[in-house]
Parts: sequence; structure tokens; C-alpha cells
Amino acid sequence: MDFPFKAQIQSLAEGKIDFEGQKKVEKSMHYVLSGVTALAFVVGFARQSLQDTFLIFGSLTTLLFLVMVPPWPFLNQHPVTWLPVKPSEDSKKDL
Amino acid sequence: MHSVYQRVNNLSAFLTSCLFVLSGLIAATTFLLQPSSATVSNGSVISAEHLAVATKRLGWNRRNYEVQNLNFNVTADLSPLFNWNTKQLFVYITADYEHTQKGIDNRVVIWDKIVRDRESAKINLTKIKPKYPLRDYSKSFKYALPASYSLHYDVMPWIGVLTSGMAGTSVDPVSFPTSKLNQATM
Repeated sequence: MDFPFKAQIQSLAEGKIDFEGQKKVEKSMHYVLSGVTALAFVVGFARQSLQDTFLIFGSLTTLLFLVMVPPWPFLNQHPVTWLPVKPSEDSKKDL
Repeated sequence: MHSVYQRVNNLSAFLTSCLFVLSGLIAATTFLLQPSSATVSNGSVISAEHLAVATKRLGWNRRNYEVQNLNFNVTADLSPLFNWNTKQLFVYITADYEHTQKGIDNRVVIWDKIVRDRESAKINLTKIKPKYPLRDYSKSFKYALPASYSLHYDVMPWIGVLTSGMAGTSVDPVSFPTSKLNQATM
């Protein structure tokens, strides 16, 4: 099945980021979500309003989604340097 | 985390765990914030006055039931029960009495109300008629001992366990008048 811009759409849908980017994303996910939970609870309890708690939680989580999920350029700044392809005759000799 | 799908999956999973912890914390605060029944019943006054007994046809098979008509007054302040985790209160008044034979305990709900905010929790009603008919399971009040009236409440939280309590009882028991039905058999 071939359609115009197939390669571009596929790479966009995959949204690959390099390993440094993945580390950043994983760390930020853990810290931000734990922090947001704590903040939402504390602010809501202080102001005695459950609405505050879930507003903070929802809005900051949506923000995190927007920062974390799409393959932004700042997450792709350390691309992996792959080695050049070896010619196939050498590998047959090793076997 | 190499693809969009992976990141969305990981984020949603951790988000669910965080929401679970948050809900647990919110439910736990109810134990700290909710006052006991004794505190809430401070200053509650309930009194009732029995009027004539009537005979009505009630139920799907239209049997004859003795219905006790009455007027009751309630004064209670249930606003301490409202905290950030309270969704609404279910408040109801029961008539409690025993039977002379077999020592049977009866409790009949005669009135209820849903209270949704702190202002409505200050109940101050006089000469109210019951919402539901005060009738006995045995269809007659012949063997009924004098009744006391009490105010109960159920606290429904946004997240957590449903709790109940009692917010006051009437002081002197009110006796049931003998009806024409009783006088005929005696």
C-alpha cells in the first residue's frame, strides 16, 4: 500500500527520539507526576476544594503530555552514530 | 520510550498509579476532618406530636393499614460534616418503638432529605408532616409502645467510604393513641 508522503507520515507516527531524550522523558515523567500529585493534594487540602486538586492535576498532566509525547527537536539532540555497513563477503569468511 | 505509542502508554500507566494514590489520600483525610456523631448532635432538638390514627388502604393488594398521623419539629446543625470530600448528606428521621409482645424493635423512616451544601445543612423545620406513612408491619398499632423520634445522617463522600451517624433523639417517648379499630376489638 503506497500513498504520497508515506515515509514522512510513518516517521511522524513513530516519533522516534534518541536515547538521551528517552532518559530525559522517563526522569521527567516520574518527577513531574509525583510532584503534581503532591502539589494537587496539598493545595486542595489547604483551600478545602476538591475542584482545585483536580484542576491542578489535570492541567499540569496535560502540559506534561504535550512536552513528553511528540518527538520534539530538543529530545533528538544526541543521535546515535551507527557504524558503516560491512561488505557481505567478509562476514561469510568469518563463518 | 522510543515511539509515541510507548510514551503515551508509560505516561498513562504512571498517571493511573498517581491518581490511585491521590484518591487514597483524599479518602484518608475524611477520617481526620469528619466530626463524630456526638459533636454533630450538639444542640439538636427533635420533638413530635401524635395526632389521630387513620385507616388507609396501602400496598399493591390494598390491605387496610393503621396510619399514625403526626407533626414533628427538627432543629439541627449538620454543617460541621461538610469538608472538601463531602458530596452530599442524606438525612432521615425515624420513629423507633417496641412491641409489647415478643419485644420486637421497630424503626420506621418517616421523612428524608438530601442536603447538598453547608447552608442547607442547618435544618430548622416546625410542624412538618411525615413524607412516608408511619405504619406498622402488623397493620395495627395495638401492641405498640411509646415511640421516640431520631435524626440520622449518611455522609456521602466524593472519594471514600460512606459513613452514618445519629444527630439527636426526642427526649420523651410519645404514645400511640388507641384507634377506632382497637376500641372495636376491646
